[in-house]
Amino acid sequence: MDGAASGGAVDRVGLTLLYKRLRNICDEMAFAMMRTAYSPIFSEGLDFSTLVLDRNGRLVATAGINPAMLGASLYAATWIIREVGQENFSLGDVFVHNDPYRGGSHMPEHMLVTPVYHDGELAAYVGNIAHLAEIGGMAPGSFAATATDVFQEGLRLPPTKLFDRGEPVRDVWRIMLTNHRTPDNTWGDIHAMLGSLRVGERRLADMLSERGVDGLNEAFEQIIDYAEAYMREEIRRLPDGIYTGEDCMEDDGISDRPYWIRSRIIVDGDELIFDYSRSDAQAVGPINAPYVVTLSASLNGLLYVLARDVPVNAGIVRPVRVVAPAGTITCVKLPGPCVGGQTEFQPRVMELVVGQILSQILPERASAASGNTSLNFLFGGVDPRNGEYYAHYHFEGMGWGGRAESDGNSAQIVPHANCRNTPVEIFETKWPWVHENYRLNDDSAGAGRHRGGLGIERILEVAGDVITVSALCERMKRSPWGIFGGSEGSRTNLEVSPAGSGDYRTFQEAFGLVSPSKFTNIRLHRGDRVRITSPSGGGYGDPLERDPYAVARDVELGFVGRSSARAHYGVVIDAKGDLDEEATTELRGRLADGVE
Amino acid sequence: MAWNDLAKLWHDTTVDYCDVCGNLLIARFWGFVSAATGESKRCCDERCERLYYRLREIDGNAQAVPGGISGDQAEAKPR
Repeated sequence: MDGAASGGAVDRVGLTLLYKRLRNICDEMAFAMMRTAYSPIFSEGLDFSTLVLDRNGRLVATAGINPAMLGASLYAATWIIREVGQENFSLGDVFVHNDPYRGGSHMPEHMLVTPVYHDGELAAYVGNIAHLAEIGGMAPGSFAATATDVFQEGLRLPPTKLFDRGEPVRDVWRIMLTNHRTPDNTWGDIHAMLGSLRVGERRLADMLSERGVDGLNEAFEQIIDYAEAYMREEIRRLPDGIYTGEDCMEDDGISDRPYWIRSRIIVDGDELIFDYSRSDAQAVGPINAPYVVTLSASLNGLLYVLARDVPVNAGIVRPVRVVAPAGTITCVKLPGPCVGGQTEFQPRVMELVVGQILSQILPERASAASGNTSLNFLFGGVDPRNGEYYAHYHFEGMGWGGRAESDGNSAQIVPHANCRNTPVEIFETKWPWVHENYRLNDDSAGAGRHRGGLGIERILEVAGDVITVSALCERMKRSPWGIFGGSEGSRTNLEVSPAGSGDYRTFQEAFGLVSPSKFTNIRLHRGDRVRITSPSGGGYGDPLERDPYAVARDVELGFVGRSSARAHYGVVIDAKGDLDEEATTELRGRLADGVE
Repeated sequence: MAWNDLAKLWHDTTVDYCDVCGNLLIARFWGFVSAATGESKRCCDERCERLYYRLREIDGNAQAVPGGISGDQAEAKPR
């Protein structure tokens, strides 16, 4: 028992202990899922979230796994309960849901939610959200970069009973397994999610035995109120005003034009409004965001800058309003496609909020742009080694932007997602690919007082007769921006080389595509190679202010070339590889005067 | 201004959005008539009605400056 007496208000220490315990429940649910899932996107990628919700479906605690799912975590369960009707839940029920028009982020991410009872009384819910690697649709891996409606993106499920009073609803299972290309993975991954729910139920049962239904929900309310008060206090410290910024999605895979996201943040006392109403109309292709994705992006940007230690629950959204009119790129309307909104739009908006808007108020907490694409690379086919159909959704690491206190991280997944990429060993064990190369993309980061992180280069060779690939990414046309005098990072590149040829061309050049970064169902053959170059982060601050010894260290490690050290940082490295302090001081003086 | 049911037949799987914030409307909505335009609005709750008027007020009285703080609201509070 933590903190206070059963059924009463909990003191601050008790509240902290209680919240930590709830977080531990979420972590334990996450580990259960990670250890038992079939797909690498679960077990390696950690593309999921776990949730404890109060008896009204409001989020009380979540594991710190995937912040990209925050919006759905805040709203989807509440909406499921409201749509289904709380009176229609029973012990042993499990609902599944992936509808992006009803609180889902995009269709591959499925939410499971189950009620928790204590002595016959509804006490709480536990839930999880996880990305299934294959849910049907026009492209293996269910990331149809050229989809023009949601029906091409896979099987859409409104809130649907997967278990009814503990018994599987077999018709629903059969519909799902029939429409997914890799039903064994779906079966295994959903059972991993179910196991995670069981862990959450058991742990909550212990807490309910200690506190009772009302006592625990009163404590939940206190935790939510605390998060609200914390957010209000942080917002209240900001100067009132209207701050604006904009960035764009490069194209939608259907036409060669950018789609602009225009944001203004209105700080108004202890409340804050994100207003996206001046953004472009929704795109034809799948770069649109459901409302909860725009909400996630806004909150994640705000939390990154403002309140990194706040308990993440329903309280954080109370002082925040997000205006994302339906029919714009920030709130897709049926039947607009939206699978890329979660992976490409969300990081773009989060970094717009952090690096271009809130940096005006809190420069010391801002960062330059990361590579800012999940660099989704999808593939599928029949594995010649066992004759089985396979499909995989791979996201790639890239460089993060430099920030006030440090350089950007290298080879890391987009900042809003916290996920991990697919290890080489998994690639080569599970699917017919062989790696020729996988390394940091040296000398590519945006220069700055704190430089950007490095992207990667990966070269894959097809080891089967044929493999179908698709991609949905960004930053091939516009570089990640630097801030406060930092330089741009480098761009994404996706190239292909036919078997026996050493020449690489972009997929766009090789196959006559509309977009270089968004394509679907390209068939590659044995010996063909794919070269993935992920973007590097932008720099933070004037490169001439960077510690010259840090530059020399970068040169020694190969992160920065000698000529770049000289040209961008004004740092001279002598023939032995040591810093030439005198020459550096002289060169920096000339560069600062604009005479070099 | 009042709460209204958003009744749907069981086989109607369409969704509705708040006219003010864009969020999903489920089961019921808060309806009001804009005093400024005379348009009927369907929104999440009373907070959205207040948000609607607050945004109109801001757009009428404040000029957003790209990269800066607007007009007389620029007084910074100490952190």
